[in-house]
Amino acid sequence: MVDRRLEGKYKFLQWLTIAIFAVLTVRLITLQLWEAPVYRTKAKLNQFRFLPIRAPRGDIVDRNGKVLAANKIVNTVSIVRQQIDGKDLDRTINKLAGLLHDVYPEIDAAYIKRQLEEHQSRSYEPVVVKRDVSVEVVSRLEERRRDLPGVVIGKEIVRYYPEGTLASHLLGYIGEISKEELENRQNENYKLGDLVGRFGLEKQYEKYLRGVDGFQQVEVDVSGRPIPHSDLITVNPKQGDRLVLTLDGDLQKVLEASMDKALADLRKKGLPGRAGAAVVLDVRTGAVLAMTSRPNFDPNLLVPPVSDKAAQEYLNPPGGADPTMINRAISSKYPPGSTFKPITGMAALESGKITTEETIVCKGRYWLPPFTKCWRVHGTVDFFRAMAVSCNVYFIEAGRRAGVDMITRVAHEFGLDEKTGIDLPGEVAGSFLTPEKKEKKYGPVVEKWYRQKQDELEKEYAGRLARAKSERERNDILIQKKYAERDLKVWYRNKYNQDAKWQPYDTYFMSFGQGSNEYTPIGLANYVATLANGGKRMRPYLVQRIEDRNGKVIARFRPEVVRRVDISSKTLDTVKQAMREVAGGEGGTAAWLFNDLPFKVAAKTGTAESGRGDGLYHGVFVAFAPTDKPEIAFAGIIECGSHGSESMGPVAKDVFKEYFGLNKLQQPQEQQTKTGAGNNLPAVRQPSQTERPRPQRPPVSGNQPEPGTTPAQPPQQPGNGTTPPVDGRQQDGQQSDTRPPSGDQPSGGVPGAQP
Amino acid sequence: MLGLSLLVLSSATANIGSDPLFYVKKQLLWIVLGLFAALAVISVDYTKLVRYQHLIYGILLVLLAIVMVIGHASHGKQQWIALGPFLFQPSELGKIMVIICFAAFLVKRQGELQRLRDLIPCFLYFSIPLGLVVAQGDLGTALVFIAICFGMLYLAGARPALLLKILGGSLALAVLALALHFSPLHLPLPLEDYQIKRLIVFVNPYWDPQGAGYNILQSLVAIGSGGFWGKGLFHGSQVQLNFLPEHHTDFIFSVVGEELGFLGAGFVLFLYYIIVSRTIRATFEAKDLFGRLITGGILSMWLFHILQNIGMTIGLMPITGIPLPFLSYGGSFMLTNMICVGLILNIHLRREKMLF
Repeated sequence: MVDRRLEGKYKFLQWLTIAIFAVLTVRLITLQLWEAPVYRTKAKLNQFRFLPIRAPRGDIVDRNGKVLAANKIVNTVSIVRQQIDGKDLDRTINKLAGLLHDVYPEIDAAYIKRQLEEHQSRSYEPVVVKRDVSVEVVSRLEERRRDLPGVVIGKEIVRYYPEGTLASHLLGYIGEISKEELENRQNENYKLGDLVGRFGLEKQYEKYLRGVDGFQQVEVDVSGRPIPHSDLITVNPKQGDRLVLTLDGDLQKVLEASMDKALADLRKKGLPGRAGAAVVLDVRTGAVLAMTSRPNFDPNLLVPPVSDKAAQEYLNPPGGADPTMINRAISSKYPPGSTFKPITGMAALESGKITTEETIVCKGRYWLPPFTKCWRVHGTVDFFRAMAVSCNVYFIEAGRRAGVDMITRVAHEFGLDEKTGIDLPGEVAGSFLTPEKKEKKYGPVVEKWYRQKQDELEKEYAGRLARAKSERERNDILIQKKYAERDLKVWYRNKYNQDAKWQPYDTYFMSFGQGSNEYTPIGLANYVATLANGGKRMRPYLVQRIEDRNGKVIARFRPEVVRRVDISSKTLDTVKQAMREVAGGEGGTAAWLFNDLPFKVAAKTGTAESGRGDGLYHGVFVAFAPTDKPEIAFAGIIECGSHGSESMGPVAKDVFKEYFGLNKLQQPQEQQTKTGAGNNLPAVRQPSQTERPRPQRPPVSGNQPEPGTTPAQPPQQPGNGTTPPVDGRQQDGQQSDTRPPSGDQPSGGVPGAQP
Repeated sequence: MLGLSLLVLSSATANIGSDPLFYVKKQLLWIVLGLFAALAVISVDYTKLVRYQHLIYGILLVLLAIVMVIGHASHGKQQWIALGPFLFQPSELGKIMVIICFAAFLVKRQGELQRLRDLIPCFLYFSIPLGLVVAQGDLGTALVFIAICFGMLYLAGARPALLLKILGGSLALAVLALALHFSPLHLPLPLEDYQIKRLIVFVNPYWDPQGAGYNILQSLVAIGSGGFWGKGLFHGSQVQLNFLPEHHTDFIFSVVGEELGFLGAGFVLFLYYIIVSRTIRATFEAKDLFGRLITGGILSMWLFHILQNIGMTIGLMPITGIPLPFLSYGGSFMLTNMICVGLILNIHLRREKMLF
């Protein structure tokens, strides 16, 4: 019996209890009945984990099957954050850093912490500290396993470039997908931490190379460790497709070695000798046989995680250094210099304005303003001779007669103002100036200058008028102002005419490859290849076929004619013949170099204003061989390499020697093995075999300068190309209206007197 | 309830240690011990306990003090002493002792608890053992002590409004102190950071899903994923794969929820309701204030344990780490609860003198 006096309390306690249990029950009902499906999913997510199995990327091999990019299995040291207590983390990191630091100096505690911070989203996933750890280090870590909670040593497949730096700009490199990319490529099944192609072929053919990741569904316990024998489903990864390139690995090696030597030689002479690019094309197909860019890199060092050293050297070079991560062969534009002369020549011949019989006398300067200097006095020259000795006077005259429209039409026929369409990311189109482009570019500049001058004049006279003391003085000032306005207008018209309108000298400069002409090495190579093969402009390509992991060909890339140039074959043949004179004719600018070869080479040298300072000229060189039945074309440039014949010419020569088997003849064994490999090179090289027995050309003689030692002064060129100074040298407006609008004020500062 | 405990424990501890029944056996041993203890307690007339008030109070303080000196630390708390092969937790038995002596203490002040001034000695009397428990770092037990204190004061005749004011005031003070602690002032608190974190994270476990909120989240997932029927004993992935921490002690209710579903969890709630409701009845049917205060203290203790423990597993209460009576694994606690049962029976049996 409950005491009466306590009945209130009794009831209160009973109700309190009921309330408490009601709350608990209601909550239980919502959890277990309403929200059960949500929590069931969460429990599943807890329990099962999809462990991704990274697919090996597809191999990249050259035309002979030589492996350029592959995969290898490496030991990887990672940290699984979830398996370390917070307080142990720092200690573990320091310990691990201590154990790795002496072998891999780039790893210290700060570096590991940064890696963890950058990948902290999922604490149960391992964060890679170092890939490709040596066996010694692995055993060192294993011994101290107890001190290193959460440190995991696993095997992993990583990208591997067995040839190191070879063809680095072509192959590219891979990097970890960024958050932005992940958002942009949502429907492509990428996930955080995936590696994607970042540059070159790795980027261009990413969707083929990446393969399909596999996974393993396992049951895991709370620390993320798979429970033994619990793999429920395993889907094996599928390796990416294999790229078979048109590239010839041996030729590429020769090209790169020769390029390095050329750069080293320049450095010995005190020139920068750091940057350059070269391209070798098969003229019959447009296939890229070799291509290089300097400075280059080792893509192995860019496989994540990237060490600070590699990141700084390659990805974030200090200001002023020549950047590495640009394929200069396709992404940098250079003035072509004299290698443009064949275009001018074709324009003149095709328009019928010159004939091969006609001669022109070179007295060391052109006879029309601005009286551009030739690089030496060539005397009487015809077309072939002019090409061989690279006479500026002759080609200025040829260009003048052909006219700018004809020159640019020919340049356009050869695709110099377009991208070649090579299968690499980042190609830029070359460019040249035309009258329309010049006006569009510089017209507004002059207009702006004019408005500014008008404002100044207004202001000046407003001030003077305000200070005027009498009506008469005011009238005088107003009259003066009228005159001043008239003078300024004349000044402006002259200036506009000169700066924005096409001037004869613009055509002259263009004729020998200066002015605002800028082309990529691949553009130049393709132009030479087009010339060599008789006018078929091909699309250069690097990948000839793609095979899936079973070896089945899933894509084949065939030679593709982009355009047939609208130039008569007679003209083409004449120009080819003239280029042959460069490399084989008497006094040819590159003859000294190619004389000893058993096959005929056609070439054109170039020494182009770099715009980087006095005396710094880019060495440019284009060539093809053999002259009669051309097979390969070469174009190369060395930044600040001075004369193309001296800096780049030897590189071309080495490439040709390798291609036509001259190097191989000294190593017959090697050639045999190559033949055995079933490639088509021996057949390709046949012409050289037939040409070999021919007697070598007699050594050059006569008035020809000594090969290689010619202190040939660089062609004297107007300093600023077609960009006349806009600031206006003619400070005195009164004077300018009495002068002819052009000619007397050559932008290049060549003295006005005719020699 | 005890059978259920053994059943659930057999599943909850199947993945711990080499002998899957190790914990079940130990628990069974404690239950048997507890039954004997209960029988022993029943046989002694509880009214005689008043005489030993000071002795019990003394023993209580000594025990709590000893544990500070020679105790084993676990989970940041120092609350165990080794008794032969067993680790013994004096603060558990302390609950009974504190109930008995506080009951005796209050009996003497019957009818003199109307004013705040009258309550101060009671709080002082209580604060010494409470202080010792806090010093051990056992926040959960400290809260249980407070619940016991207020429950008994209420039954002893203190004005409910006054008690409510004190309780509300201290709660407000506690919240204020926490706020100040996390403000730039960094008010120092006698609590470890992990305890504070656990106290507040239940409001939103996603503040720290890998840290302080982890237990709550995993418990919610366990209970929620159990659904109506449950996954069956030995088949709860949250339990068996150790996602759920402390699943044989503090989070035993989550095991029930996951493996036996709403059916099992609801049944457990029902059983607790019966126990509590019977205890309330026993409280008010006791023949004297002393008996009423003892049962009332036990009632407060159980009710608080149940509310707090189950509340924490379903995200209603902060995590304080106190076990669930009769279900959780733990020898001292089981023994304590069995003695409590004995005491209640003792008091209830003697509600009319004629019986004996």
